[in-house]
Amino acid sequence: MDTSVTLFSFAYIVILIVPGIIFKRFYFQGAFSGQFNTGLFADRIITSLFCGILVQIISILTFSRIINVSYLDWRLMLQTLYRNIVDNKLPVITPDQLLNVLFYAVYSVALAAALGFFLFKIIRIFGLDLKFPAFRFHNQWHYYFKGEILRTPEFKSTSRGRVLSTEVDLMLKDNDGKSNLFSGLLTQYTLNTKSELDTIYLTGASRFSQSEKGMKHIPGDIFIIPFSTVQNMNIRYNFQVRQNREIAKYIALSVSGLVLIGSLVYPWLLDLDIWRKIAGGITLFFSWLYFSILIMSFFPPNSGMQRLSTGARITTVTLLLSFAIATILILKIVVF
Amino acid sequence: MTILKELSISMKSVLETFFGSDTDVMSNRVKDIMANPEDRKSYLEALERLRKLEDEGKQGTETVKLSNDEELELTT
Repeated sequence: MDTSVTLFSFAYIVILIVPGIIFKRFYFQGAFSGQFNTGLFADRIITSLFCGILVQIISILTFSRIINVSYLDWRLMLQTLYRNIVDNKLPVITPDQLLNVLFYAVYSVALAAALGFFLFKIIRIFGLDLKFPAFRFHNQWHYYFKGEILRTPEFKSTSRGRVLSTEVDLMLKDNDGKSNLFSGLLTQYTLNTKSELDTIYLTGASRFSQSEKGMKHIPGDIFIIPFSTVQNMNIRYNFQVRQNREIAKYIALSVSGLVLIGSLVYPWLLDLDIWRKIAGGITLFFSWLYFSILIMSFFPPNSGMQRLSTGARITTVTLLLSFAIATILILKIVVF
Repeated sequence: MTILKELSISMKSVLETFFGSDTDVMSNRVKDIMANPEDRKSYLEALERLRKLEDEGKQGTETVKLSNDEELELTT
């Protein structure tokens, strides 16, 4: 077997395909996770390769900065490595260089995961998949069942508030060929491997009763309907009246999200040793966390939460200041 | 509720907001309502009243008072 071909194949898989796959694994989350496995094998390889190349470009641009190794050092190391391979010699690698290579492999995989995760978050938080069809995920049912379809340009005029839950009316056909109407609150649904609707789960289900000429409640907690028995479906959204403060909360969340991304990136851009960057990153993350808790405490609490008491607010401010001061000292933002 | 507990709940909520996938069909608010039999009954009844309004071709709002004294204003 030709050594150069083997090495190239190995490098191609490890350097480009693996980070691409990790990127996609973290990009397709929640209701869209099925998209990770769908499509032709060739398509999946090409998209993984493309994502892998993007991840590697960003890794190369940022890694030298993180471990404080100059471009010339990298070039010299790669030249020596290449020359040895061409001469059929075992490359001489110092322990430091080996450590850097291993660290780079871990870094590129971690970066792929982080990029995939945050790209998904940015697209979903800012509703880019609703505004631009290019960003839209394959699972169309999610947009219909969650009511997000109303926020797309096609349905904009029908938006009446925040969708709290979704009710469905389903016309089912039984084995005798008779049809019956069922209704209920949509709790969950599953898709098959082809991303087609497979099963629907309802709570508070009811069915049309011929004798009572109306809907009759079905006792039970979850009513499961195989989609293969459904002839047609009507979707009704339950809207909550939107409050003015929700817009302010959305803006605060967006700002906090941007601060989070900045907090995660900023320490790695500084000219410090790696341990300071890691420690600074951790303290900066906790500063962001307490900052977000403080900001969110001024808005109506989410479900299951209660408004923060004055004591809790004072503790949050104290912790925020402590972590912020620790960050300033560790990252040497202000030199005393 | 102790300060520590309050902070841990808030911390969990903030982390869930930013790191949770939030793609479930039912909103967290309705999940909580469904978990409480009284709230569930009030919510489903309010939806029923809204549906009747809609059938009559009218528009309107229904306020659901939850067991934790929170109010939820629903609309057609």
